[in-house]
Amino acid sequence: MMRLTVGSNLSLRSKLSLSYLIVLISASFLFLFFELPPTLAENSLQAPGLNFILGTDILGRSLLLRVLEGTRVSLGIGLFATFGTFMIAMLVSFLAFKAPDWLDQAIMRLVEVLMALPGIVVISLLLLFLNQIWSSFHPAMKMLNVSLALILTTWFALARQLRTLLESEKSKPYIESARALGATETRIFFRHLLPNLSTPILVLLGLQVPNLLLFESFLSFVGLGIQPPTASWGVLIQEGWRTLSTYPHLILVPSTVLFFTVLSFNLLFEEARKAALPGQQS
Amino acid sequence: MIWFLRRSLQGLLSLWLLATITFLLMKCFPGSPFDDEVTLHPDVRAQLEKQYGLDLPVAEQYFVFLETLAEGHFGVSQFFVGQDSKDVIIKTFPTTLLISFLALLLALLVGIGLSIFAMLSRSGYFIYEAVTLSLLSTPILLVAPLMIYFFGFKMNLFPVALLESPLSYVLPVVAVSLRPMASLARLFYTTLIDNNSADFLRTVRSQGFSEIKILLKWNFRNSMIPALAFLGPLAAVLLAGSTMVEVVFAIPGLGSQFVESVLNRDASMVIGLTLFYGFFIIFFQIVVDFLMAIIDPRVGLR
Repeated sequence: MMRLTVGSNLSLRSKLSLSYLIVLISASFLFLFFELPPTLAENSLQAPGLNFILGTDILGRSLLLRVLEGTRVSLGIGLFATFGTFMIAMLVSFLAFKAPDWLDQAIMRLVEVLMALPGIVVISLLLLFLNQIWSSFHPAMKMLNVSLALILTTWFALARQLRTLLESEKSKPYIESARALGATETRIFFRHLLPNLSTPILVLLGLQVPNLLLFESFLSFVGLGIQPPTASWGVLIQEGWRTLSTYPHLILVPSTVLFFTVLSFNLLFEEARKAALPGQQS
Repeated sequence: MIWFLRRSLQGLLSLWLLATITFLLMKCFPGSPFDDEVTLHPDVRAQLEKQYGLDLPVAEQYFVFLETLAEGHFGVSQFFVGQDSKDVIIKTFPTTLLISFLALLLALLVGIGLSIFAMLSRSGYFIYEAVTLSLLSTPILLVAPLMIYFFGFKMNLFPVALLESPLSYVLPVVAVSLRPMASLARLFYTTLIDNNSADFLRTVRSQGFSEIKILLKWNFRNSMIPALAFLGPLAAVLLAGSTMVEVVFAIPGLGSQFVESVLNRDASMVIGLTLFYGFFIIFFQIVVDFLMAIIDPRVGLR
């Protein structure tokens, strides 16, 4: 079992990654409780200094506060979409578990076809579709659309991995004895298989998060995802892009935060994967 | 030969599935493409719908759609009058292909080099681990601005956008290749380690060859096969990376064209390009499978 208690069984790099994530997330929520300083034109494009720790952007907003807002939005989308992905993948693998063999095969064929496409292409197509169905300028709607597009395009990869896990687990003796005692398939799936697979599933989910973060940043960067003035890492990178030659810190700060977050997730869950799924390649 | 036919048939089936899904999606798009025109006389509208074949029943539209697909047309742009996605693909795809191919070469060279370096010494292994893990996590949106700022603006070594000289390929190709490089290195290293304790290498070792010779002559060659099999899925990764890089470096390729069409809400163009991506990747996968079967008879022409 993977223990997330801060103990001696975590390696140095896992400890570092975990503390980075905890500090980042708590800082992003901490600043909800502070009053925002007024946006003043004379503060525009200040270098990092005492008043503004990371400087200000072109409209005079503090970059630190913008990045922390972006953290809430981007990480929120990443984690929510991961959760949604898990729900769909779990339902589909439950259906495939109960369904007759041919349906199982048909679902998997469909999944293979969809997986052959470059992810970013399918996501853009779907997001275009969603934005067309209900276009709204409310930031929460945009977040929902981005998350939905991500969920609907990443669940099948997870469903496939889940199926592999289930296949190897369901022939084990304890499942057979449960069946011999008269447990229904539904009960076996939810009460026996899922709890026993919780550790590898958690690891697969954790490895999902960085990809979703990267996709979100790109979608917002090209203008498909989150729209300014709401901040997400992609939006901030896009805003910093325009002043790259003169004020590089405006783009380097959000993209570095993105990099370290993705790196932390990868380091943390790569190590967990080695423990939970020995002998499986990433 | 029979294998080849069956494999192509399978590919065709997947393509048909993909085409049907995209067609259904296109039909589900709310409203007509001409809704945006503020005032449109009903007659003009009817004429337009007739021109694009939108007055036919849905089932008939589906067959027309499949027919035009078979002719190699992936759909007409709704945004730019008379622009066919076929012309767009012919104009932009070679650029994308060239960038992806160069990136693949670079990724293979450096990735394999890195994994061999990791086999040689303990410190090499640490460097490999650090480099691949950080490359896997590096967003293109971080690498591209960094490279543009330092190599473009500060040192003036490379042009920062568009494709005007061979030099302007350098930054985009490097940016595309980083992630595939890391995943190739990791895959290749695991295979090398696995093979290292295999029976045939124990035999070779018992004959007293040096470790380096064993690594380069026997282990290396036998480890090529999984890396080759990985090329199929890698094509999707490369094209996705190329899409991002083209947008960032303002390169007129298929990826930037795709994003532009998405931003213009040019649904039929987007769907046409998606189909083309699918077609290319499925075709590439068949070629890779075929090569695999030739190189490694054990894989067999299943």
